[in-house]
Amino acid sequence: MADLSLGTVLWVSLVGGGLALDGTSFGQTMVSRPLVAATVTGALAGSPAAGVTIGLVLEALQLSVLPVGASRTPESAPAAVVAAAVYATSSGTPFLLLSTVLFALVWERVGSETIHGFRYLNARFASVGEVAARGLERQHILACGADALRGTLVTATGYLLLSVLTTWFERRTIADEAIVVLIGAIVAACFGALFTILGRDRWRMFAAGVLLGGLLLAAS
Amino acid sequence: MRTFPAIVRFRILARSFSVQGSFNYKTLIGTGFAFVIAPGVRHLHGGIDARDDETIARHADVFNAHPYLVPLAAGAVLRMEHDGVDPATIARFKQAIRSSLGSLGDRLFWAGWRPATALLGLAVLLLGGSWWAAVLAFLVPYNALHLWVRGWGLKTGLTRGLEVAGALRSSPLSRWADRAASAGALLAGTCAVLAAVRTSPSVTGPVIGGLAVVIGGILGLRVRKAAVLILVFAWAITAATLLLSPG
Repeated sequence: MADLSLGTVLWVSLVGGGLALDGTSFGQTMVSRPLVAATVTGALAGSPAAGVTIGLVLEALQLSVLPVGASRTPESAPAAVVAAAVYATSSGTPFLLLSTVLFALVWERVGSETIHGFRYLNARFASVGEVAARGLERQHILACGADALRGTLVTATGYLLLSVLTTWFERRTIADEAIVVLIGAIVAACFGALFTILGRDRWRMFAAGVLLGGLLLAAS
Repeated sequence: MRTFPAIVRFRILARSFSVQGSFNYKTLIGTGFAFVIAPGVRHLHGGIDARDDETIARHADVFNAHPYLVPLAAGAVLRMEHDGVDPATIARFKQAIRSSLGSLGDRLFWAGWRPATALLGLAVLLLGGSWWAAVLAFLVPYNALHLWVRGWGLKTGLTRGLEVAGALRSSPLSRWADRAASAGALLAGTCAVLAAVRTSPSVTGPVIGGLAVVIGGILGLRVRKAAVLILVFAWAITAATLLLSPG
């Protein structure tokens, strides 16, 4: 089972909350992406390799998500932090990896729903009129602070839940090798999907990339 | 441009990083936009509260734009306020420019530069690079363009005002969006090969990985949904074998 000491829960929650802010409310410098959030969390938890594994898988799955307009997209930061923090302090079995990735995908949706509810709450404070203007800046800052709190709570809840479930997931199974191959294949499929997402008319560049990848593999 | 001292421009730019903090389904980023321009408005009116309130409140109405291009809109609006352009014209300008700023930002960053730089970081990982090298390979080039666009946007908006649409048309941003997507396609092909070979330890791994790349290319945007379904199925099967196994 993952570490449930107050200190650990606190730092994991604060990292998740802080990175959740970067997702929308403040910054958008992409430190909230799984590639960064999971690898840094894994490093902080003492296992960069575990963070890299989680970050690689979740980032590959996130590449096909395009946040355009007011669309509802999965919230990656708290889920990536939770998954990396738990996986980094576990025995790292393939079934646990599969379970952690799935949990993270579900928790991304949970985070997204809390953001959705949050936006309805923000609408209640959004007013147009001279009286509203005086408090507008304070309301905006409060909304940012509330989003940080939301992200922290989402992370804390996710960490506690996944930590408890880890006890059952941390097992060897007869399907271990198949799970690793499956997850690797899914990551490869996500990169393949970009051929379509970035435009099939760029097939020459994609093909050049395939050649480049082959050359790099041969050289390594 | 010099109408707004450096400290005021800095405050506007700094506030632009939080423009989506109060995002809501009523005014979208309207409240955030008013928050961003507030230091400029106060500077213009010399701290006369009633006029500040009226101007800020006017700009808290419905508005949306790509967050990185908000400084461009903010600069243009403040320039127009300074020049005494009537509020109805400014409101029409905001309505007209929002879709351009949204689509250009989405093409350049969400569909272009972000996947390209993320793929660069992932390629570093798949080639066996350290985690911090991968993180830096992603964040440094990404934010170099991100921060440049914010600064350029504010400067251009403050300089051009109502004529900012022309500056947008003649800017290299659209060209860069195409190049970023091309770079992304190159790196996607590279990562596809590396992932097909490196992420599966078994002998048949590369064959399965190669097949997966082709299937991913066919699925496109549906790949995530398909991946989730497959992962759930795999998890359920494995969990069932664990439950049914003796001991």
